[in-house]
Amino acid sequence: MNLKNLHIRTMLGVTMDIRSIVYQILFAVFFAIGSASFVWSQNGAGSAIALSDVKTLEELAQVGGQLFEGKGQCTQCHSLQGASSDKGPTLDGVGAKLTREFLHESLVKPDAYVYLDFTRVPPAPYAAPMPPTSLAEGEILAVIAYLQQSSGQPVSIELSELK
Amino acid sequence: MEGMAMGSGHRFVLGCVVVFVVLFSLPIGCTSKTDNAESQSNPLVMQGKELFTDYCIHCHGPSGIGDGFNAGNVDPGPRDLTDSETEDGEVGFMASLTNEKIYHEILSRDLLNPDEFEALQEAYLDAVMMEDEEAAKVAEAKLPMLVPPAMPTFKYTLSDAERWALVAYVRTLHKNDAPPVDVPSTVSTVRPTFPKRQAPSWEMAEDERIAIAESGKFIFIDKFNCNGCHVYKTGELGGVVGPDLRRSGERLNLDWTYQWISSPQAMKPDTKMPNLALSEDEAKAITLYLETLKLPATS
Repeated sequence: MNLKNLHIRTMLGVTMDIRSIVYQILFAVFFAIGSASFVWSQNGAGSAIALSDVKTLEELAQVGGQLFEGKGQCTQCHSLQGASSDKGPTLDGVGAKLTREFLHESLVKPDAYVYLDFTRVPPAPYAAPMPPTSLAEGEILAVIAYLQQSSGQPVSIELSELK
Repeated sequence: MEGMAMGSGHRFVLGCVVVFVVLFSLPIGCTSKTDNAESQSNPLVMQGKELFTDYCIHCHGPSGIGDGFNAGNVDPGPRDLTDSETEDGEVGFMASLTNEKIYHEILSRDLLNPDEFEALQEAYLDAVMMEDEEAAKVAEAKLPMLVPPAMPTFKYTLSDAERWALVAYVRTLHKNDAPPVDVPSTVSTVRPTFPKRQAPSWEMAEDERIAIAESGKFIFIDKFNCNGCHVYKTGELGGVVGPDLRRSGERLNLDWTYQWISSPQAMKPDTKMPNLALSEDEAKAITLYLETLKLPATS
């Protein structure tokens, strides 16, 4: 039996061959998985915490991680582990290297001090100039907490600053 | 007839090859100034060339003539490594050096500790004041860094074998009568390692902090010439090989700075910053000097 010639009647009354139905189902499944994972990533993997519900510095850093991966769009150009990309430097260890005040400045006024790609001769800016973040002040503090924690540093943000 | 055609075809191809070889070898012969045509296929030279690209071209330039992008930021300026002979036809500085001298006294310079450095500097200046030429010469010979060259030592960054490879490559940049570099098989191919250090306490009285920072400034500028690669103050000579340090005091955590300058490679294995084998006191002093570097924020 030739599959191509096997037509079935759909609910809409349109005649389609079975292969295109299979394609449509596959597309729908992929689309569903894709959008689900997008929503997942926007909310942060696992149990998402709202900034307003944060009660410990651990949770603050966790919110920062969600923002780093999601709303803040940091991972478009930065990674937290491994080497730098053409787009931006790795942020591996920056929470230990940089002061909390400078991390804050880098998010709000990224062009005030531009770290160059020193592997290039002569050193030159990375391909993607960093835009100022769209995050709110509390969210910025959360991202700083996340960067400090993932660099093995004590978090230097006080929860009282979030108010 | 067919055989003839084939033959002339071969001759044509052969002719093309000859023309290409001649055309390509002309510029090479003109620029590399080396008599040793084998150097291009010598693995030691090729290894040296790679290292030269990583660590040297910033100042000495890709051809070694001293026109790297950072050349204008160091005083004295970088040595012309293509210096085969002087204008008067005398043997040039580079050509006059032995392989061993390049290896031991330039690439593998030993560093003096700050007390030794100061004592020798004093001895030299005293001798000059007293017009005691002999004593001045003795002090000067012991003090390779009286006028510190901007160039750092690579003794604590590259392996012995790598420094010999650099000698071999540098030798191809100027005409010389030196024998080919022959690396003894016993030479170490392992880079020196300096483990990550525990940072000291930064709690201290304000006047002590200021005094240590002041000595750090001396070590930063006069002993190691860190400003050969780093801008540290607006209006002062500073290089652009590494990050701008003018805002170090606002940007960098003290523990991190101390650990980084004590052993850059322990924190970032492929960094181009050389290890300078700083003592704990030197690292502490430079860290506290960098803490004083701040710029008014631009808004």
